Amino acid sequence: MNHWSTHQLTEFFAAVGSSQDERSATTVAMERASEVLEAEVGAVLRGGRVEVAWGMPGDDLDAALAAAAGATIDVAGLDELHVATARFGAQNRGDLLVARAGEPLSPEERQLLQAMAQTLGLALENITLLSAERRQREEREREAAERLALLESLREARHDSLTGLPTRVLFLEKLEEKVRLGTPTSVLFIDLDRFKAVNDSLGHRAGDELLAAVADRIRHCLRPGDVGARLGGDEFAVLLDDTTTDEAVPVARRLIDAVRRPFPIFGRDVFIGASVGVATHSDTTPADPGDLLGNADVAMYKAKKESPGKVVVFAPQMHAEALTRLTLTSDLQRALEQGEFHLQYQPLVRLGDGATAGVEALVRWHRPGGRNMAPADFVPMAEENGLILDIGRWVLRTAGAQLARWRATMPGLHLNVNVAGRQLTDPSLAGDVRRMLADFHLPPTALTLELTESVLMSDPAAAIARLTDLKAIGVGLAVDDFGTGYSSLSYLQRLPVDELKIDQAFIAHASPTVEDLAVLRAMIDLSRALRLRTVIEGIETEAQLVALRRLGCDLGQGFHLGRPADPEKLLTPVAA
Amino acid sequence: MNPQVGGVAADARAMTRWFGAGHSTLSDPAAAGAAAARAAFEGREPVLALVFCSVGYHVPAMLDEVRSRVGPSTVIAGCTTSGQITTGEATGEGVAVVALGGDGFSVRTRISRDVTPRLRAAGTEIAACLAEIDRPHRALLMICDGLTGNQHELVRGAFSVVGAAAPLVGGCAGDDLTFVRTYQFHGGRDGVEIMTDAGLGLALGSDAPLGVGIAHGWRKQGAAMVVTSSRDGRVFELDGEPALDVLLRRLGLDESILVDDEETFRERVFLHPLGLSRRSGEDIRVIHGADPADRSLLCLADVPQGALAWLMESDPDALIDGARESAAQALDGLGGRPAVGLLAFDCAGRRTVLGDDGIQQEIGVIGKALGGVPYGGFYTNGEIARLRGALGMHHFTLVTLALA
Repeated sequence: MNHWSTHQLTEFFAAVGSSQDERSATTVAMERASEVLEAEVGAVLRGGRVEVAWGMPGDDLDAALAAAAGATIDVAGLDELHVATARFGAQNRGDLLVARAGEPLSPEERQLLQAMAQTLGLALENITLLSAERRQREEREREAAERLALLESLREARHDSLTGLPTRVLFLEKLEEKVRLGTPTSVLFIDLDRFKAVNDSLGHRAGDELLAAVADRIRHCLRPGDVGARLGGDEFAVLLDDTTTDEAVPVARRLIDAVRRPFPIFGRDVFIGASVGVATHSDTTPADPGDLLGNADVAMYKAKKESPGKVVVFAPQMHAEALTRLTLTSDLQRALEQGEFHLQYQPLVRLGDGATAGVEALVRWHRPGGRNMAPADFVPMAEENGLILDIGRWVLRTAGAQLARWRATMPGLHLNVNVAGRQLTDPSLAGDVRRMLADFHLPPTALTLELTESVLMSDPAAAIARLTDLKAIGVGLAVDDFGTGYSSLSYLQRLPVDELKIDQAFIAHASPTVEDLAVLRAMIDLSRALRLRTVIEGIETEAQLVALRRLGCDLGQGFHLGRPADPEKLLTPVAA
Repeated sequence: MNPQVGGVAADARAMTRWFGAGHSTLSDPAAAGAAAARAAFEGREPVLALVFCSVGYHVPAMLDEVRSRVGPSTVIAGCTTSGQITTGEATGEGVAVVALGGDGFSVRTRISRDVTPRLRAAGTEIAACLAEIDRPHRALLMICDGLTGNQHELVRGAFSVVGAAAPLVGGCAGDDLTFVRTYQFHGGRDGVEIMTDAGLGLALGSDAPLGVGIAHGWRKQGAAMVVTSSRDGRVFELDGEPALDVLLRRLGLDESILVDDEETFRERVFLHPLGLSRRSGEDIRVIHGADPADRSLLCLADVPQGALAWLMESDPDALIDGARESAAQALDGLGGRPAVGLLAFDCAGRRTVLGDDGIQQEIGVIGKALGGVPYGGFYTNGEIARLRGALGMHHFTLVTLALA
């Protein structure tokens, strides 16, 4: 049987070899070597200095070793200790030391110590290698994780997280593929109507739900080769594979129909619509996918402007119109600063006695070069870009100042001012009105604000709230262009308005027909039933005036009664 | 006294050093505590009172009686056991009080709680009290929970602080070999804390020498085996073969014994611990069970993978010789000075192997070696002793500390 000492080596190897780091390997080696060799002191030295020791403090051992003459050291409280060391390591050199009282190490024990030291050296090298490998592995894992994160973020950039549809980036890539193949490809640019109202009234979470539901409906309208995408906000696009313009338009209509069906959002039905522009790639049109999408966008804009819920196919001249719009926007921005707006006033005449009860202020834009523009030509644009708020405020104050001047001689004169939809949602409107009245010392009853029927009915609940605020000031409120929109009679009853202005479309004939009169009578009766004042717009003939007076309409307005005019020109007839 | 670390200092007043041991097997805890303390103290005020008792007692009632008989600076420490030893007596059930006092003894203590997950650190903590002893002869007594897993780590932690300049002596608390829970005691006249999963360091200083004895009395049986697979105290393979298969074959036992007669199996393997090859003999590892599911053997302390091991055997005579040897070594360590007493930490496995008659013989030889000097201690779940070398954990061994 072997000497006892060799039995220990495998144990030692197992203990030191399982150490995870240098420090624990050296400590375990020191402990096990001294336990095995029954030595009172164990240590590992690096560079001739004690790195770790037990059995006695490391500093004391350093001092004892320095003072030692031979192979023994003297330590207080212990017998003379016989020291034995064995070298380990090639690059990471050191010494494994034991010091034992009693007998010095036998040759077999010295051999065992040497074997243990070499084992420690191997273990340390292994740990160095392994930790280098571990570092490398960690580095590789980190790189892999980064690559994965990058891929993920790219995927996210190419897919909309809310709807799961491709984004503009991916849509354009797909479009480019199709365009390159040369097959006819149609692009639909879809913009939702009234989405903003849903977002504003029901909240962003409802808005998000709605967008996701819209995306689902769009998906259902598509064939496998088609691609739907969300471009951002409430804008979507669809690529119709191998589809001509003529084939694309019915698809666009089906999409609009699909979006028009009610969406159940948070327990209530939400109604929206969509306007679609169509552009088709063929051999004769530009092959740039961005241009194609831009063309569909321009067509959509036209659809929206003409009448929401429409499909418009792109035509080249639309670019010119778009350019005009752009110019108009920048010109409008300058117009206020340059004082290019002015007001004209049109009389409101009491049909009973022909007296002028009030005037309606109408804004005019004198463009440089002498061209005049009617509100219909620039107000929609001003609504779109928000300038209407500044213009509206200017109109209110300018008309208020004029009214104050007139009332000095005509104390009973009233003023009607138009309020655009965008203004109605402006929280500062009521404050502006109040301030104007105070600044010009006008009683609130002298002012009537006119709101179109379509503005009031697009979100009746919100309108009622806003109108109630205005009503609290004491001003009058009028429903303008009544009969052209689709008023809900129940809402009409609940709106806190004082006046209905019947649209001139109802007196289109110079001499009203029996049918005209029947409709007008019904409207005037309705107005009376709701205890509202009735105004008829667009009286252009004496016959119309006589007919309306007979029907009992309260006030009239029109060329026959007085054209819109500059205030100084209006002064005389009004004064008369 | 250092209140920050909960240490208790005790210096006896002008009196010669004395050592006393008393025991009681009364079932009433208060009566047993009172009787054992009275016999150990004999009206003297101890510096240190060690209390060892079996697990059945209502310990607080028993300790109250011990407390009522000590001085204001007496240290009380102890633990539950697998049997008690006092002069001329060795019992399973009962209480033993072992006390020392008089001029020239000092005791300082440290406790470490919740030691199981941090045995090494706990060992360094409890060893710190030794630095507070300023007497020519010092030793660190250690009493710790015997069910913490690898108690050797706690002993290594203590050695890393104490170093080779002072011996380590002590034992691990027991619970009558049921291996469920052991308790440790520490305190003084005003109260004694009863803990589990704790380690106690008792730094003992004396003006006279202290002697340590370590011996067992086992011998190798048959050919050596290599531990080819193990983890901590669980041996999976010996010589590449499932360890349980090797054991059954070596002992000539049939597999069925594991199911039919586990008691006999445990008794047989108890008499055949594993011996690990060491410079000055064999390090003993008690096998206390087997796991038929993975064919492994369960030992009370770690059996390192790669170790060379023998099945050990013994007989009462050899074990009793071991006791004689241990006591003789301890007395030798006194440098010719007469002993006033001897502390014994005897393996509970030895008690099982020897049986009641053997135990009486064992304490007989110890008593004979001491020649009328009192002695006391307990049957342990692992013995702690380091005098030479760096190894401090032992099994199936009798550790003794003689005090001059």
